[in-house]
Amino acid sequence: MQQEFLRIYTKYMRRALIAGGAAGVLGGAAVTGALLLAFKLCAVEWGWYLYLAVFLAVAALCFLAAYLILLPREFALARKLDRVYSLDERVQTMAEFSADGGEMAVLQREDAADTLKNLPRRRSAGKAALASAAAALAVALFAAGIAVEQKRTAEPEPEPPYTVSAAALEALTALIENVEGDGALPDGVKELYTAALNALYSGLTGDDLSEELTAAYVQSTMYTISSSTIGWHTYDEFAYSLSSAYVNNTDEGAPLEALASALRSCAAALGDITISSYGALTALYDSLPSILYGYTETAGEALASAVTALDDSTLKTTLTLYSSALQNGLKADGTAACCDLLCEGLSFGDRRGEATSGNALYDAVYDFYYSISRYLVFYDAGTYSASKVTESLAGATSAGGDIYTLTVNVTEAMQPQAYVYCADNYIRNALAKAFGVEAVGYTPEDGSSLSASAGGDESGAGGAGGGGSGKELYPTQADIYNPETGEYTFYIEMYNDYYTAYLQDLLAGDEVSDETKAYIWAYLNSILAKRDEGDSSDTGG
Amino acid sequence: MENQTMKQTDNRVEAFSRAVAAIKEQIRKDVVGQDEVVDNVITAIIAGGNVLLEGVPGVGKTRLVRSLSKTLRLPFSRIQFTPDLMPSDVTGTNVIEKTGEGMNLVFQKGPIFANLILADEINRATPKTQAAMLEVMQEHKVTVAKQTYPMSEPFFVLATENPIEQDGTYPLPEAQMDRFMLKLLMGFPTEEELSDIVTMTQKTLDETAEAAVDGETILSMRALAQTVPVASGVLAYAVALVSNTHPELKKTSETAKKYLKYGASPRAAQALITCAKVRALMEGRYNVSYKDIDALALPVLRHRIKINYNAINEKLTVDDVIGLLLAENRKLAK
Repeated sequence: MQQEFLRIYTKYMRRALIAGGAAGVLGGAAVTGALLLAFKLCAVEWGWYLYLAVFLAVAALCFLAAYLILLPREFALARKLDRVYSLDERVQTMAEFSADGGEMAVLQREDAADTLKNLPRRRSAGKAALASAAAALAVALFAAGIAVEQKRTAEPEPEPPYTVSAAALEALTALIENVEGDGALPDGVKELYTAALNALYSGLTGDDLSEELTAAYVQSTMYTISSSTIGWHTYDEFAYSLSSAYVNNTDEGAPLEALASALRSCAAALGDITISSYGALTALYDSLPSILYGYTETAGEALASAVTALDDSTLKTTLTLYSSALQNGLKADGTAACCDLLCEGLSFGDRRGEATSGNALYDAVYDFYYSISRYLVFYDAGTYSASKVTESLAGATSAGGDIYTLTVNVTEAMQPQAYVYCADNYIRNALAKAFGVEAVGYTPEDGSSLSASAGGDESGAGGAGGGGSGKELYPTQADIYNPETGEYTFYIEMYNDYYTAYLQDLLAGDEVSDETKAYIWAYLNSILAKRDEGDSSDTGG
Repeated sequence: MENQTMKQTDNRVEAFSRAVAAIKEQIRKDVVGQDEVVDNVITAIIAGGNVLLEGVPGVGKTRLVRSLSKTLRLPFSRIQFTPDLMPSDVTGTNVIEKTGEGMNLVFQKGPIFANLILADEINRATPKTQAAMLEVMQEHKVTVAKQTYPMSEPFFVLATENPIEQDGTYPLPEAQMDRFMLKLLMGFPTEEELSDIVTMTQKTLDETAEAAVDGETILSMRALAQTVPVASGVLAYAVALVSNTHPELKKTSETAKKYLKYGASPRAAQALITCAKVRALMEGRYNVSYKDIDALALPVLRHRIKINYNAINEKLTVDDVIGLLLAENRKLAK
């Protein structure tokens, strides 16, 4: 390369290095400044070392790019010099023929070199202005990025901790007090209920609660409470107890008025029943003694009227049938004859396996009472009053005699179970209402065992007497023997079948068919057979 | 030794410059104005090419050649072309000469046998006579009766054309046109120039130019010019200019596609470079430049390309079209 051209070439290369360096620094500053500005305004926090890394990376890239672009190539520089300084292609000819030893080529090179020596200084005002503007922008961006304060994202306000509403806790407290003060609940049941409810209260006043957790606690408590219920068995218990009592006490009679009184007490003891027929039902019971003691046409008509006045069609139908049977029996046999028959100790067992006991009166009374009590068992316990039950039971007096004892025992045996059933439903519905959750609980379909905390006295009538001992009456819901299939099945399946069939027949026809009665007896007997077989502690005998 | 050679070359270049200056100085004594024409004629002579001069009568075409012949101290011959001029009138012919021994066939040289030929109104000659000029213009030799007679160098034909009188003229064929290195247009002098012409010719009508250089010097100058380097970019520029005159080529200029019927021959590219070298030296440079090519584009191309009806319709002359071609070509120089 010719010396003069080399000098210029070197100058351009130096210029490329300096320009590259400047481009690197300014590029790095501009990008870093822009990042600083953007991130600070958008509340993104970066460490200083990250910005430094960005600066260095961008600076290196910009330097390389600028240097490579500005780095002169020999022929390109030669052409550029010719063009910029109007050298008439002297320099590019010189560069191209730099190795040509011809005289003219040599002269040409010398001529070009002389021209290059005297090149005027040229400054591109436009380029200088552009470079200055770019540098100013880069510096401004960087300065702005440094100067701007870091924005920080606002901490989200912590949500207030979830707490159970005061009203719900108040309702729970009231419920606990109600249960604790309930004298009718068997001790075991009460203990379970109060423990469950107190545990619920304790859980709901703790920390780290949420709406979902609260609902879970409440419903878990509902399951605990429902586990003590054997409501589905209540009427079975009654039936069993009654039959057991009669069987056990056939040698001794009992005044019929005591029976009637007991029946009345039983009805009253069921408390505030929401069915609109309660008043009529009570009247019905009230008229029963007069029917039993001295049947008169008037009493009979009163009974018929009382049944007719019932607005529950199912019950009315049932009672209409049985009241007719009752009246017919009384008419036929007369009161004394009826009592005599009763006092002669008809074995309840005689009725087992048969549709009737042979004694129309007895059957009528039994059926009448049975249908009412069974109906009453399944009423909605939403308005059940525990205190009324307690009063009723407290008002029951002992007049001695087996029938009385029987009925009292039956009543007492029945009540706790019915009571527990009703209490269970009541408590669960109260909890559902207070906490706004669905009322849940065990059902016989679950196949879970229902422990009877009011299992009754072992020596009592059919294990259905007295306070609650928590004794399990039926091992499991599945352990119900179905005589038709010969297999054990869920209780509710069997009951539903019988009940549905019974009612269907009842509603469809004018009288209960013998087949239906036999169906019911068979069902009842199947339960009783299982009782006798499975539980030696039961003295239903 | 090397330095000595360099010095000689340098001297030759200096001598070149002095010779050109001297020629111009002498010609200016007889020819007023027409500087560009004079420069181009000198360029063509040094480059070894022929020139076609076109101009209206009385602008000084013949006077220029006469003055040039005096300046170059070269034998000059003027051939006035007329329709009845025969080829043998130009080249010469064999004549029978009676000698003491008997009769001999002797070749009588025609007026073409000179160094500097003025072929006046060449377009008035018949094509046959014009063809007779082709061989001598290109090859610098004449063949008569199978005998070849070379011209003495430097040999230079300066032909003139009268653009006005078209009756009784025979347009030069493209082949012959291509043999003219340059076609120069001698325009009407300006008022000032005319005033000078009138003043000068009142004194004398004869040319007053004196000899400045001789044939050897011209040849030496020609040899020196040939050594002038041409950068590849400049060469490509010249080649592209000639290529872009061809409308039939795939890669050609838009101007050629639109305005030209046919383009210049490769002789045009040769002429461009050869003359550009001379011109560079004449301007005191040791290399060819883009502006040399630009300056020679018109005289080199105007007689070698033909415009089409588009150009005629748009009232464009050949020179206008060449201007457009140059404009397109200049992008290459950037």
